Amino acid sequence: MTERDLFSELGPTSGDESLTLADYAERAYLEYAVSVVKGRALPDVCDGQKPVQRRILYAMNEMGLGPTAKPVKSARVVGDVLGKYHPHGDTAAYDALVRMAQSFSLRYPLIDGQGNFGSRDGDGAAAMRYTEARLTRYASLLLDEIDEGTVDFIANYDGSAQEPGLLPARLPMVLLNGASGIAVGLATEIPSHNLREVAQAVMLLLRNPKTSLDELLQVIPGPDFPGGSQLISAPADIRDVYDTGRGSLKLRARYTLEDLARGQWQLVVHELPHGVSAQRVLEEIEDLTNPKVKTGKKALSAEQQQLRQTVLSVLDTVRDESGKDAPVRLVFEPRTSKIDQQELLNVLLAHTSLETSASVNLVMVGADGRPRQKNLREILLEWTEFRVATVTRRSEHRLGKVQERIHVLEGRLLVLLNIDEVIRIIRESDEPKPALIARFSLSDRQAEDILEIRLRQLARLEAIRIQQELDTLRKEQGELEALLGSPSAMRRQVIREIEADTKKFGDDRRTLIEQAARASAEVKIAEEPVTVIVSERGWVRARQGHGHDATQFTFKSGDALYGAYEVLTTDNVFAIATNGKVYSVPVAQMPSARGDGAPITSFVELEAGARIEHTFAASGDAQVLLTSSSGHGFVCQAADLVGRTRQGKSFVVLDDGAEPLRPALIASQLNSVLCVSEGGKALVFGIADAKVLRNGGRGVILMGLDPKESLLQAIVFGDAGVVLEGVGRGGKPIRREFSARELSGYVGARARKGRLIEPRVKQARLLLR
Amino acid sequence: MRKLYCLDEAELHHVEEKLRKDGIREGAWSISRFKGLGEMNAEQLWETTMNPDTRRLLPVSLGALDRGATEQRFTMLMGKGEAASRRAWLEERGNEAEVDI
Repeated sequence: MTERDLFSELGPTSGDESLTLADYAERAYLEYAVSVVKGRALPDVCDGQKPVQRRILYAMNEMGLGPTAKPVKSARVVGDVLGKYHPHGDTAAYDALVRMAQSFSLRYPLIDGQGNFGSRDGDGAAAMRYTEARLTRYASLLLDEIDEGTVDFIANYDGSAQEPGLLPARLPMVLLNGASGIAVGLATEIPSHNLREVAQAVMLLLRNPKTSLDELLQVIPGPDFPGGSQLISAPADIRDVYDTGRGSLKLRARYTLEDLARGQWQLVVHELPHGVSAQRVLEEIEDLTNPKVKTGKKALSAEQQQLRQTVLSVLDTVRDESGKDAPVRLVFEPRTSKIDQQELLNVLLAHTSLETSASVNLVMVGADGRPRQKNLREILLEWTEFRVATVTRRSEHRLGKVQERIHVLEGRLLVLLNIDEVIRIIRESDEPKPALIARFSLSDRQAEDILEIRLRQLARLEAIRIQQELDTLRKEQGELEALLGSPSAMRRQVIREIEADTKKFGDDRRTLIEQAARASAEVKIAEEPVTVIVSERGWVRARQGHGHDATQFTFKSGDALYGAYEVLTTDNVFAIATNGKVYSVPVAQMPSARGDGAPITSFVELEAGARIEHTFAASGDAQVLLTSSSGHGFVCQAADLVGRTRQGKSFVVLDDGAEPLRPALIASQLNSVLCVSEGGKALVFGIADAKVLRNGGRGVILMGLDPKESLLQAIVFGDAGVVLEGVGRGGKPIRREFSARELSGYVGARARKGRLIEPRVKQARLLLR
Repeated sequence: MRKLYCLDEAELHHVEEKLRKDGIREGAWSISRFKGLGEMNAEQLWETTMNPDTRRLLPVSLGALDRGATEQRFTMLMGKGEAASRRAWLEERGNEAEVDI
């Protein structure tokens, strides 16, 4: 879909008689998506505003609601915004206005709200008929130059008014206040930054456009959230996020340990991560200490019980003491003062959102009109280009004004000495304008000006005053022309202005950037030997200790032993499904061996149509040979199979119709692979010939197979050799032992077809001897 | 008073040209825009959208594409697991659409 032009065909006036479904759908979808992307959800790299925000600011500016004005009802602002520029819902516009006034949402609030504008605990603002609003001084960074020819104006939705397409931002607002939004196919999450730092980075880039990301990160070490908190990500991770424009940062609440009388102490949280409210933390603690039985379950799960115990063992009470003196003050009292402070902290950080990760996704509409993910350097560079262009336009505009005024003043100077004659001409002439032009050789504009001067003023024109004004204007003209004539002078001017704005608006960083390890919620599991018993039907259980007699295990009727694995409680049980997915379940979760155990399927979430084919347990560093009936196979480590979720992970790529075979554990001393096919052929080769694929895949051909032939099993054996079990003619069970020496007759290169092996058995199965 | 309906900017342009050619004074007409069906009176909805004499119906066909290609396109546009390709598509063609914001 590279060269199709969606928009030339099918126009309503083109007279086409039929619509191509796919093209029409694509065009309609694109229009919808783009209108959401550009018209709603994403900010612009130039001024950092979404359309609704831009319109609110512009409308308020037009209403004269500067920082010193008397605030007016929010409803009036919203009404103006809707009526003139933004034909959408009033709640959407008001919500946007409220957010711009919240000092805990925006690092540099653009609106000064009077009344209840909500709280960080999620309380909504009062209705717009109660609240009042005006602009803050930060808004002047966006609006000051709006009338100086800096930006293009476009017609509003019904053509009855003009609105700015962009605001002439004097600093990269998109980084200062950040943004978040969900569009179609795209979403954005831009954290806020410190004004001083961003301004400095921009100046670096203006001085040297080749400034590298690392140099920029020297001045912008990370985001700066309105609520403070601590950024604990490693500098390399932060760099990664800014380098790609995407990633996640780890945030942690800031706290103090307050000592009380008699050796008592309490933990006080005074800054929360961005987007986390004290209310939420309290709710989380409530859920932990007073858990609810999950729907469909009869009792609390072991995990819930354990968490409850963990929290209650260190925490006595928690209080929200936030108030007028402290915007955030969450007090945690330890169960006893003897508890390790670090332990209480760790439990709280690990199990509540006192520690969270903030996702970053720097998507915005670029200067070229395309929405795209950008890295930090691109954002700053694009903005500096915009800024230089804006200042150029502003200077050109001013120059035009100055030149016009000079022209007019020169005209006045010309007629000044002949005022009487001017008055005479005006009185006597039928058409005074051409007469004036002819008499004094004025331009049309100058004559117009003279005629427009009131008589009273005309008589009072003073040469000195005009000359003075002319002098200052000529000086300004010279400066402007120098500025416009030299790109480097222009850049210096832009830098000077940024410096001035930094002095005026800059403030200290609030978020502390200090690397710290994530608090881990690891529940300690005692490392004990255990035997995992797996049945043919996939039932699993764990029996304490090693060295059990496999023949003593009992199973449900019709079920039998599949395998017994001697592992540790810290290891995992792995299951392979018919669709090539592998699932891992910690051994610690296995039911005890007192009953028949539980089906492995109850621990995982299978995809529809898939079955668990094989289940085994192994320690993480064990090597495993995974094979499929199509004759492919590869080696990996058991640790590679460990997935985080119950959904498992796709690991084995299976050919059509192929199924995973029983995995072969590669213990030490085992170095040869024996493959046996359905047709009774056997092939032996060294394990080193099998490929190691730590990320899974299809593997290499282990045994060459004729069409319709399939691999039965592959086993890795050592000096002891293997056992072949199966059913012979007449249903008679057969068991035949092969020593390693006997098997040497089947040695061949990997992927060869092998030789027939005796005895011929049905339902053959290989075991280690 | 005469009412003329235009579907889009191009048609508006044509109509304005025609009015000028007919010697109607510039500014003698005014333009209002419908942003949605909700802004129309029943009568206006009839005139713009429902009236069989003036409404515009176009047949929808697979066109030059076969069923497979069409389905493929729809999967890209609406498919559940296709967020990444939609995103690439938007970044690629996002600037082509002309939209009223």
